[in-house]
Amino acid sequence: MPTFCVPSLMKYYVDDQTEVQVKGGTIAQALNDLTTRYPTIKTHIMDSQGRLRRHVNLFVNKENIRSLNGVDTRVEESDKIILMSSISGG
Amino acid sequence: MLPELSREEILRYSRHLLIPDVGLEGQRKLKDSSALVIGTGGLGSPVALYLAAAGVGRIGLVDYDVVDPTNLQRQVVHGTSTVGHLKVDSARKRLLDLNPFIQVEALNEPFTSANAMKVAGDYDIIIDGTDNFPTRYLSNDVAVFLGIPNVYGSIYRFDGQASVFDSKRGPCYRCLFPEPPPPGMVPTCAEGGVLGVLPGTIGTIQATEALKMLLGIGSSLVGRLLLYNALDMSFEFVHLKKNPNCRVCGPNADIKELIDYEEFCGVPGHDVDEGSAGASWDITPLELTRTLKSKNPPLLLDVREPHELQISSLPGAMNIPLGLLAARLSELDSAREMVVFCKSGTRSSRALELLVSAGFKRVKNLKGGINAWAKEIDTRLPTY
Repeated sequence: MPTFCVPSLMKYYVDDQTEVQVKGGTIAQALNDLTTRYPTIKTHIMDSQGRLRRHVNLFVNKENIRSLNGVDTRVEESDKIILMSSISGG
Repeated sequence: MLPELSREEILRYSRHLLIPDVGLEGQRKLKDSSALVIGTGGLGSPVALYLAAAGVGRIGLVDYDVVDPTNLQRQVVHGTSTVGHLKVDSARKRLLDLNPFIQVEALNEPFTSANAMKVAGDYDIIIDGTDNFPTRYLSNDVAVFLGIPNVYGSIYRFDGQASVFDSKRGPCYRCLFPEPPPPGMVPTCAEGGVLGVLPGTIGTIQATEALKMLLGIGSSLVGRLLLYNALDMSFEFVHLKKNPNCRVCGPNADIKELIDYEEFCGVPGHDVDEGSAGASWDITPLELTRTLKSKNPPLLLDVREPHELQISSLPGAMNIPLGLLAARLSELDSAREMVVFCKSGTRSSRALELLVSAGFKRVKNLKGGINAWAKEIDTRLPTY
């Protein structure tokens, strides 16, 4: 199953896990599985229209999905989906 | 013509001169170069120290803040002896002690749209050591307009990010983050904490990238983003590409001058009465003591993380962390008066906004949070 790599900022919303295995053959399906099982993370990743927030990026095989097929990007069973958000600390 | 090195400098930089990729010419290049470090805090500390040690000829420091005890867990350019001093003065003194052969220019004011182009225009490279979104977007845009690299670093808890945004060769910060998060969605380190050594790691990486750029050696992080996690010691590199629709560095860029970044981000770029939700929504600690003695005392709602209650707490307070508040509103009685608090009033101000927008009207924010309560009412409680 594909795996979301969750940053420190958001692991609180997925029972403190830094990796969460999900079901789905596309990013959209994987996100749906993640946010269904952990509803409190949804608003931190997606806006009220269900679109990926613009300060959040997802990378599959080192490539940003925004430069691939967006949420229709296919993911394989062994893929790691890096979920990252802008952070401001300095 | 590159500046010559004195005999003392040759001795000092011996270990650089021994590296073929640096050598005498490289060291002279460093002496001839300049770097503007924006922020002299967690990231700015190691960056400034290592650039000074390396012999970067002129280092600019921009910060408006003073040294605070809570800084010393990570801001290693400062010390206990400089608590209360201007950060730029504290850092300048330390850098010149480390290396008296360089120039250090200290600017004690916020880096804003009003001064940024003039300040940064005098430097070869910008190092982003800021701690807020408005100044990050400002630093990026200034770098793009000036055509100089912006060495990026950011931190939160155990996570660090680093890259080099050089719009002449690759993406800029806005290519990756076209918009900031909604106000309050991404906590600051003051709200969520940070492992003290984390900015040391990321800041040193920033210094490394800056030196490589100034020397013109190695492969930089242009077009790559480092995602570092200190807990599992992982270093992930992902590819970054220029956004063809970037509003600042794209071919059809429509932002051609600096904007109001605080308005863009919806948050201040520097401390502006933090801990206040606005006069009509605030209650001071003293006022709260009186209200708590009344016939119908308010509900105290603590929106901090559960582990913070071990540090200090108010008796009888209900704890719902801010991140979970929206999902747990049904547990609150909108007819009952409520006072929301957190550590210093920032998170509780956001909680108040959320509550008010959900129809709760009888809500107040404890101005200054439990830290203010500890200072003014119950000094047995520690501040943190």
